[in-house]
Amino acid sequence: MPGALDPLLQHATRLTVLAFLGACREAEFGAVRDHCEVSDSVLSKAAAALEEAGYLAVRKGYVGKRPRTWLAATREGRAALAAHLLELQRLVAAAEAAGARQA
Amino acid sequence: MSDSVPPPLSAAEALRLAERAGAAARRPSPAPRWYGPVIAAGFVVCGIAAGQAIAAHQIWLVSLLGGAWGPLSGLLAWFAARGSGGVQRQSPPGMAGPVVLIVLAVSAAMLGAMALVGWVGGVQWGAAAGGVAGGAVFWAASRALDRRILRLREAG
Repeated sequence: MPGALDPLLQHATRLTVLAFLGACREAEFGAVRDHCEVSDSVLSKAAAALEEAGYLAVRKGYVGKRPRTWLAATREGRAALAAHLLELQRLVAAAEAAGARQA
Repeated sequence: MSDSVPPPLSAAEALRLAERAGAAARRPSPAPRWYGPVIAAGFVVCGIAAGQAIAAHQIWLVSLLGGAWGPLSGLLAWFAARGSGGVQRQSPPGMAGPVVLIVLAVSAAMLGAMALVGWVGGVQWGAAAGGVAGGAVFWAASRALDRRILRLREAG
């Protein structure tokens, strides 16, 4: 039976953030914001939703005297992302197969 | 991207978005500028200190220096990884070979310099020369690795 799409990851920002964090060990809040091209508040909301689902871990610390927030995808988050991407690939392949049959 | 109005994404668009984000996180980044010189200086200081310890017949200090330098260089590598663009990346593919080559080159330079200078000027200066040679080779090799990473980035 094919897996279902994760409703949490059907949002573009949340998907982008988790995909970014899933491909690295850990990233600083500002780096994720810049790479994902979102504002601080949008990233905060997305990170909070992902953290609540257990997909993302937030760690606060200091670099010198400056406070920093580090984000990392959890094992559950990586598994959820992998399953979501697999389902997306299945949908794309099914759509392409249907298109090919119609043509 | 906005949180208030989630844009409707097709499966293909969502896949592209995830692939782009993943590729951005995986893109290798060169080490911070301070990393090569600081590690090189560490080699030099350890080499000179080990030479002085040998000259003073305090051999136990040599193992203490080695024991301290190992974890310290590991800690510096960890800081360098954290500091490279705010993203702590997983090891990019194709980097294990160059890193092993750097370790071998540094070891060969240190042993060569120690043997050569030690034979001419004694163990004290041999250890110091080993540290200087090891540091210089590490610095040069880390710069070469950074250039390779920059070429990889440019190639996409």
